[in-house]
Amino acid sequence: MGQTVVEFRSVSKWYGQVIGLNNLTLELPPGVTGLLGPNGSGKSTLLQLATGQLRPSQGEVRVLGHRPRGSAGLNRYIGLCPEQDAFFEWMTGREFLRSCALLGGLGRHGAREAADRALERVGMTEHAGRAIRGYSKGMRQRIKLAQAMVHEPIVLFLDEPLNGTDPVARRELIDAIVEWGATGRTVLVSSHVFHEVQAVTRSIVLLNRGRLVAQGDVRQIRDLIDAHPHRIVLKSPRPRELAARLVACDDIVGVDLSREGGTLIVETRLPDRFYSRLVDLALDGGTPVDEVYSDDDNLESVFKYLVTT
Amino acid sequence: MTTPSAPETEFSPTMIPARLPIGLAPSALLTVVRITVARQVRGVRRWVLAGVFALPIAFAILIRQFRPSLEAAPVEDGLILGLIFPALVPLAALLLASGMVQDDVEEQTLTYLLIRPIARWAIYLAKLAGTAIVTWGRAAIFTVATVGAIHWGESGLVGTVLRERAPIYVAMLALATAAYASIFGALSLVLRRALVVGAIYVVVVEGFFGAIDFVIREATVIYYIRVLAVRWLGVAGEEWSIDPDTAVSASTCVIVLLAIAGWFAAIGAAIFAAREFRLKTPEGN
Repeated sequence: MGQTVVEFRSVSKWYGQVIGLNNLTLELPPGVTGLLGPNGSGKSTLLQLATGQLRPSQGEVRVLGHRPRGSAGLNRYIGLCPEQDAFFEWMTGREFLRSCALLGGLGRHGAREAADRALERVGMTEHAGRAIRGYSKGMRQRIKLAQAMVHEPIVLFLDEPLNGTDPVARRELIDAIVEWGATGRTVLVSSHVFHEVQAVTRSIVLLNRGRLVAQGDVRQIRDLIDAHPHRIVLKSPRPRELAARLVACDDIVGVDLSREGGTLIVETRLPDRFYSRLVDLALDGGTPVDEVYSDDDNLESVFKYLVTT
Repeated sequence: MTTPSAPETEFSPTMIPARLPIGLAPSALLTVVRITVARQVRGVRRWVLAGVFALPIAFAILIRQFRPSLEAAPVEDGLILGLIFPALVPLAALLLASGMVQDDVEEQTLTYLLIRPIARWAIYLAKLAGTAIVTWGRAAIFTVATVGAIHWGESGLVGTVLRERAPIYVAMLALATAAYASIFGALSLVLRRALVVGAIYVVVVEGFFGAIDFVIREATVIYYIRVLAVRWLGVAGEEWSIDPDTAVSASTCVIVLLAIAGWFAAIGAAIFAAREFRLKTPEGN
């Protein structure tokens, strides 16, 4: 048995009448683990409990052997990439990362070096001198990931780190996460998109409605999930041209041009093949893709299916 | 120590010390202060406060223009001790301190502070310090500018007024802003409508109770500021029913004002440390 880095023992969290987590027991070893669940399944609550932002209503949380709530010093060893798209907008990317490094307890010189290293890691050195308020969604996600890594934490919690990114940024962020996990650190990546999680790890934890549905190897559930058509939302400045190229692919079973301008909803039975083709589609042939995300309703239906299977 | 079957990873959970850092790194705390100051000098509030604090300067210029025969001393007392201290300083402190934590919650940036190795109570105190610095800095600049506008052209402007009286005003402003920012900072953590309640507090408690000659005025900040004006600036206290022979000493005033600031700062820090800020959870959304 390997060491347990993150441990939840019979943890419940209530928000008044709403249950965030329901009697969750979970142990996470070093390495990358995916935390998969539809919106409202308790992923963010779990991450906020693990980072000490919330205290459990019941049960106990331990990270690196310490209770996160009330142990500020533990945060020296923990990094969090929050889901919310929020920043100190007036800062440049470099200033933001230096500030985060200083907040992380590094000295002035160390913070400068750490910020430059983190910028390099997420491919943002070129844009580091620009104000964050002018960044694209992909750049904001990269900077958000960089701030979580800037103080070189041992445990990294990432809440939907790939949300709303373009295919190229997605690929680069996935590489950065995998690379980070390969150093022996512990990474917990939350997502409501199965194929995002699958791209970074084989070890996954499934949550639904605050409960642990399953934990184990990705292969054990992927067949079940692939049995359902997967709905993916794409945003493109040329949705009709993109739709025309997509319908030619035999794994695509439906393409819906949304009334909302520039949005396409694609149904596929082979999401792996679709995602691997997406970068080529975005880069070649004049059909750029600005944003990709999985349709939430789809995952909800998959989870209902999994829970009742 | 490694074995072939269990290669040692670069990062092991056992690497972290059993006793964690206490979370009071000076560089981290200074960064919280710096971020708070940067936030407080931005946005609409900057212009609102500049407009409000420009009023006494405008009044001083108008009085000099249209009533040049009026003596400077009563004008100074009226504008500085009758307008800036009892009204503008508490309102400025209220405006800034009530948003000190709430702005970070609404803009969802508080997470970036809470997930750092800084004790929560220390985060609050650093934010309070940043807020008090901005409030004090603004008030001090505009107060000195008002004094300058009142005495403009006088021979004693630099010597008596700016070198002797202005530093006393600045010191009194430091005490007043520390007390008010602490009160309103703590208030904003327990009340949703802190701005409204704070404004009522300024009018009723500081404005009304602080002015009546009764023991309750000793529970107001403005009373001690007025006694300091009597003690340090030689202002006649009759208008406020303050008898220099029976009123508390200047050192007592300083101690009481610092105690008020410290007491409410401690309450705010304790509430902040215990509070769960739900930024992205069912209730937070």
